[in-house]
Amino acid sequence: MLNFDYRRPESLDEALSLRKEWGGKSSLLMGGTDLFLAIEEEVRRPELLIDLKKIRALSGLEEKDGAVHIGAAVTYSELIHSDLVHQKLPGIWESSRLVASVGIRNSATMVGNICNAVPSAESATPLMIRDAVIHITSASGSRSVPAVEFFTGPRRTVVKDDEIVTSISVPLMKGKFGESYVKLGRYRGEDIAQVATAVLVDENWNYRIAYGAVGPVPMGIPGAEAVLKGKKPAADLIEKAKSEVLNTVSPIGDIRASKEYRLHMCAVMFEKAIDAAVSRMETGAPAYGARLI
Amino acid sequence: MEDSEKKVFRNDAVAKVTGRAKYADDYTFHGMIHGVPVYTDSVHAEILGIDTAEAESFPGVRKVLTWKDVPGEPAWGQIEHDHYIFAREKIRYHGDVIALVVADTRDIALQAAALVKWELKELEPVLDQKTALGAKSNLVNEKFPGNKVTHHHVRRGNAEAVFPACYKIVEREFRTPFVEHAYMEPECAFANPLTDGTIELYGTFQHPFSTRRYCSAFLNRQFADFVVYSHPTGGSFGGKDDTISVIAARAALAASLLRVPVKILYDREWSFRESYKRNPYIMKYKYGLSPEGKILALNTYMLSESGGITSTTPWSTWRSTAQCAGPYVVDNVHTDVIGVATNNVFTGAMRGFGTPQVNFAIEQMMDICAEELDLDPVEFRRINMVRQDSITITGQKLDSHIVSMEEVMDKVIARSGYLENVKKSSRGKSDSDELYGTGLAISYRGSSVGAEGLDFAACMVNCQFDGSIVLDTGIHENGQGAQSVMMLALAEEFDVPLSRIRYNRSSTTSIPDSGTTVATRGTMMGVSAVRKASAKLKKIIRETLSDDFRCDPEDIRFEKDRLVAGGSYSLTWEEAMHRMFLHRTYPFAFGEYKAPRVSWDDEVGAGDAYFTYVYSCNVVELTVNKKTGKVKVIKATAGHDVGRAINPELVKGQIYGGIAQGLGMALTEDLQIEGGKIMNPNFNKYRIPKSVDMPEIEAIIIENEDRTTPSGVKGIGEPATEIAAAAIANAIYNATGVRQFSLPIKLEGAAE
Repeated sequence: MLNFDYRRPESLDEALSLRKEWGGKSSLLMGGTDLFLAIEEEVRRPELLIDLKKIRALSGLEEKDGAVHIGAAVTYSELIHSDLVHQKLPGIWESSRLVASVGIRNSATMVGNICNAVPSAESATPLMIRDAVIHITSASGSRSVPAVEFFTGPRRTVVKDDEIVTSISVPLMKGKFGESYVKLGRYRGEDIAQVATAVLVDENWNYRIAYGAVGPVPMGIPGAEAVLKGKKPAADLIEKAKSEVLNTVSPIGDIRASKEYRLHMCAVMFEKAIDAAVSRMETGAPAYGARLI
Repeated sequence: MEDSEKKVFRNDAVAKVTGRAKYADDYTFHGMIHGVPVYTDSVHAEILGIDTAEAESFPGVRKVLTWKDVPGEPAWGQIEHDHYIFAREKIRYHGDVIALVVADTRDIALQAAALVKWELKELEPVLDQKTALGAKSNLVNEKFPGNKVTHHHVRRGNAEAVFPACYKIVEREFRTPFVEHAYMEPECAFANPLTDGTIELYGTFQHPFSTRRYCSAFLNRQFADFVVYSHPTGGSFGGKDDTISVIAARAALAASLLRVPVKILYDREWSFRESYKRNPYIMKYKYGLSPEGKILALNTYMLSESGGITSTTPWSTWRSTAQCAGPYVVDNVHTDVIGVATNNVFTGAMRGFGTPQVNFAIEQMMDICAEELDLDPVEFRRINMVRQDSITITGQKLDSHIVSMEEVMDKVIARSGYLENVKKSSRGKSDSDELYGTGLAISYRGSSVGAEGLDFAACMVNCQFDGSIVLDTGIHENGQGAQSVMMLALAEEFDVPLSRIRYNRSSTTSIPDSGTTVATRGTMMGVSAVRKASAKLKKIIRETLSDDFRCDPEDIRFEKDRLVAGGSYSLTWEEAMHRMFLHRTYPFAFGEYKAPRVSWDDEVGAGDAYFTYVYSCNVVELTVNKKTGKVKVIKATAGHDVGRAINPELVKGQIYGGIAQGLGMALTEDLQIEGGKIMNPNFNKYRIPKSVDMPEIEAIIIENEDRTTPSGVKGIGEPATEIAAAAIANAIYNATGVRQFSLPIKLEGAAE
């Protein structure tokens, strides 16, 4: 049975100084839905838990300066119930609805999800395709890291032991666009993704494509983006782009799916995700949140 | 009793919905201490030594128990005595416990458990049934040469002589997996030593009397030295017998040695590791058919994995044997069912008890045979199914009850639209990504334990002089509503409102052993005992009050909460009970019910296996996505002839749950065992169906009141789950055109 200390600072400064003092011996607590399991299974053995829930500065969810800012304390349920997110970040809204179950979503946060950094992290790919930026602070200063550079390995990110992720900002799109997030679980009920695909397309036929659960980190597929760039998708382009996807991803076989099945589904889901994103941009259908697979 | 009362009744509903029901871990006693089991990481090894010194000197540890502390039998069991309270010479599976650390707190016990050391000589793990059977050396248990723990057979007619003359021979092999019960409440037991030397036991038991037998054997104490209490149990499905009884005995042993209350609470992963599962089967089925579609001969050969402990494998395999042909008349049958020991997790009773496995094979074979003969599968079943006065494969004439196989099948077919839907089935071809299929399966199931055990039950009706009534039966409530059913039956007998009746929280010392709540017997046996006790009590009341009525005792009737006779004179129920007081006669009766005779001759493999049968039919509709390989069950229609439905909504509840459990076995539940170790011992990786995985279910209750027992009931618990996987498998074939020979069905590999 693991023993640890527990602090609940009321300001970010106080939290940062604790973080500076304790470094890697500390773990940050927000929703706790991943952390407590990790502690119970002794994947993590913190000596100090820094509970961030009392820090008001982390709880913002607002549109400002051409971006939507999502504070570290914002839960998935808040995101799902936000009109701002539904209208401006429909892909993120769609993916948030697929996180675990209501009980978990009431507690779990998006920042927690990306900091936990499992390859199947629900919010990773929708943030990557929107060029989201992750804001990180320490006692000695702040920095911002693009979502595409945030993940460094399974359960590893660029966040250092003395740092805290305070928010995410997602730039607003100009003009028409369509997004899609396709998640494949083993069952209809709550499950971690076997494969996840996120696609963004804009009115100039620029594409952003990312995959989760098919490599050590969530990954963008620049090869496929380049193939499709500037063009409306046609069957031959899709085939070419699909092979770029399959050349980029590197899935493993595990208890949730075999490697072969994951590869097969990367291709199947690519078409579904492109179809949905393009159709949403052009016709508004299928509605965001509709079942895509 | 008002009809409105009858629609839904649960005496425990409010307590459970509001969270006030007390389960085993909710009980706590002053001075209570805690026990934690110690496992090795081996699945097959000789034990050379166990060193508890360091753990015992850990601050807060009271004692570390091993086999050396056991005063009675080292091993016990329902059939074979091979379940060790603490492993002694050998480790036989990953869940074998070598010690119990007892400490002031659970935390201390957990820490100290890591300090127990052992020395083992590793042995080659025996992990495969086929190679295990017949092995000459490296046996799981020396008791069982060739690792064979049981062997049942049926020899009827002469199948081998008939096969050569058959028009068609159809032969296939099927496999079914380990399945976890997934009861909501994991194992918990605690023992409280009383000053007179008796030991009280609380815990999540499906049969307190079974727990008492284990405790008695291990502690070398008589039955009356234990008081095992009934209290709310968070599900069982057959799974709360052997394992929890052994855990309870460890608590009892610790409590008797230390003279303080001892609790043992399992977490889910220990529960997965140590508790028994559904027996996996490997089944060869060979049918010989006539051109007209008559089954002329059947040969089956099955292996049923028993794992490291025998448990009830000899009984569940007997049921597989007696029901190996399904609800069909076959004159030439040659069946062998063999239980095989391995070092995998042991297997035992689980809802269905040897039939979900054989039905998975039989009901697919029916569809396969029909297709081979170019016959409609429903017509093929009609040609061969049991009817009134048919002779079963074990030589039993079905004349004790109404044989309603065809009625049940026809009702489910009509309600589900099976005949039209089956024509729409995709058989692998569709314009969209979705393939559609519907599948049907039927069964008959012997009610109660049949010839595997002695079947009797007790009931006490204790009317109070103010008119209230205390009811007690020996049938244990596992969470399915057994108490409510007995109360309804009693209210019906005397035509009194349910509000008069309280169900007594019984114990092993307050009522005689009425057998375990298994085998779909609870309602049938319990209500029969209620009826016996009620008849006795009516006689007592009538004889006592006939002078008051100035009539013959038989003329007094119990109507609408009153006692009435021919004339204008009548008594309210309260008045009647008060009169009983004035007569100084107790309105109390003890009723006992003995089930009708059954028989089995193990030499010939024949007999009157069960005294009555439940007839069942499931139809399932589903879609398979060609591209993803995902299966979505969209509708299930289930019909069962339950004899009589005493609490119809609870019957439906049993049917819904049965479909859920069958769906899990068919599609989602995949116990992964590597080297004898369970790799997914929790619900994050072992997936039972969630609400969104469930289809719409239409439950059809068919009532042909049963003549064999006073209850009129035949039961529903196990029939509700025993054909769901088979129907799903047939539906998947009709959707995809590809047969599924093993469970759980995984189509991801076949996604296009």
